[in-house]
Amino acid sequence: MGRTLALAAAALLAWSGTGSAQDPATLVTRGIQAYDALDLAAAAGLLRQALAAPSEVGITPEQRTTALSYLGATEFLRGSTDSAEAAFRRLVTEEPRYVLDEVVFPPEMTALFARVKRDTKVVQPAVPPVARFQAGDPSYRPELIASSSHQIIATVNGSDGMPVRLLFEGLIGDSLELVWDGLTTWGSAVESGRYYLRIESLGQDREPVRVVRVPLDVTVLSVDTLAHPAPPSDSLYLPERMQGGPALEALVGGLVASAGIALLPSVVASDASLSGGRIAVAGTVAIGGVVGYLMQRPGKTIPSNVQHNDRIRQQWRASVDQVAQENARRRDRARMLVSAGPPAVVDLEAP
Amino acid sequence: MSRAAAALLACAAVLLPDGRADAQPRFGGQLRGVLSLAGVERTRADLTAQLDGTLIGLDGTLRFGMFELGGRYLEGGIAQGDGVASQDLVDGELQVRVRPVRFLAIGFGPHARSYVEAGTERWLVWEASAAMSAWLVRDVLRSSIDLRLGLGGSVNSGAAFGAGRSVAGGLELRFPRTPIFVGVAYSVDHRSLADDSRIDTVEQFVVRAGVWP
Repeated sequence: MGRTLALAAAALLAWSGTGSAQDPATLVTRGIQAYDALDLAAAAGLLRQALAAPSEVGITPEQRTTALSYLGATEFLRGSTDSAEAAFRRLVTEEPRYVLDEVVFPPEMTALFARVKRDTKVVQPAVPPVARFQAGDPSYRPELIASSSHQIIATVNGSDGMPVRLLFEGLIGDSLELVWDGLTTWGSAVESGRYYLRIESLGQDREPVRVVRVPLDVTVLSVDTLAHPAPPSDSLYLPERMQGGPALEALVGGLVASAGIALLPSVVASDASLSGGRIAVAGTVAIGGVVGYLMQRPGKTIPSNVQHNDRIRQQWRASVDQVAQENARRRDRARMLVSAGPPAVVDLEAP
Repeated sequence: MSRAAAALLACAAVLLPDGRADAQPRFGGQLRGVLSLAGVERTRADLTAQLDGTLIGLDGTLRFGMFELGGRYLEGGIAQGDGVASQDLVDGELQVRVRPVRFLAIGFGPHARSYVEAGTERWLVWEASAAMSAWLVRDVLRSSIDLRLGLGGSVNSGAAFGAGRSVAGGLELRFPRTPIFVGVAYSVDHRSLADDSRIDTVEQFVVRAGVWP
């Protein structure tokens, strides 16, 4: 009769287990009841079943942490310390701040949990899902919650995995608030695109033991930049070397005028007795023409024009630099929209 | 009108439509003080007399685009070497010029010259001119030569005007970065009555200084 009852109970348990697959919350409750009744095998089965439920019919985070704490306690009572540690480790990983209730669980159990928690280096990021801020303002503030004190490195990485900004490197205690201003290490605003907030938990030998990354979709809202000044028109430049024209004008102009002064008076006043003084004037003009030719001979550099052109070029370069600086300043003060995705643990074993 | 005068006017007509005048300020001008050492060789009835003297005056130009209005006024005394025959000489002219290209100005206008002794003998000649100038050193040193031809004229003595022609040329130096300039020039002006009973040749060495805005 007793055997029949036991089989009936097992069948009922199996049936109820099947039913609870569709209701993980009930499984958790029943698992706790089984734990309280010291039916440890049933409790372990029920709790594992609840934790293994598909996510679409899963349990709430609170029920999940409860299930894991009772599972660890169950395994501890069953003498399976490794399984208990595994359950507690899983619990700490999912809820780093969790503390085992000392009223409910015996001191040996809470001690084991505390040890597991101390040895498990986990950081859980709490990132604002959407944030708007101006580049340069230290307004983006993700919070990190740690299971225990340990060394971490927090960076913002590009989509290629290369770090663009180191946010923190050092010891995290209970929690830590990171600050990012939207700038790279070099002080310029990041461009629109996918970035990652990467938190690396380091072990004793500073080797990464766990890496969590949060995708950040950064959108730089439109910036009104100034157009670069157009290069100076060619018409503003003066020839830097003497052309043939001025030299030719000097030579021809001087010689023609000189010849005219020397010869034409005799034609105009052929019957007059003219003084020879005009030859001095004509000679002066001729010498002026030759000097003018030599001073302006083709190919000769014109220093004043070179200076003039340099001044124009320098003014243009200065205005380009000014606009570039202003645009960089505007870009560095651009408004940004950062949308964060769900955190994901990076598989360190993956190639 | 003489053949030469016709040729001069024809040249002006050809050059007038030329639009290649270099860019210049729309308005401008020059004002110069002129000191002239003048010598007048006067031939009258195969007798030649030489009168020398110093003239002083002003020379100015107003420019409106490619057009110019020029004027000159000089006066002074001339006398024969022995000082017995002295006269006052007053010389004035007005010219309207057009500068179709930078190096050439063509003009036309009256040129009056008076010899004042007991009475006043005034010669008035309508002159066509062609003045060429060239920069020997850009904006610093400039040469010029000015040819003139009398197209017609009159003398208040009642004698028939014969011919008039002149040539002048010189050099002007502008002090860098200032509007001040100085210049030297030489000119010969030849006028005669129709019957050649009177021929005056005025030869001048001129020193000029002025403002060239």
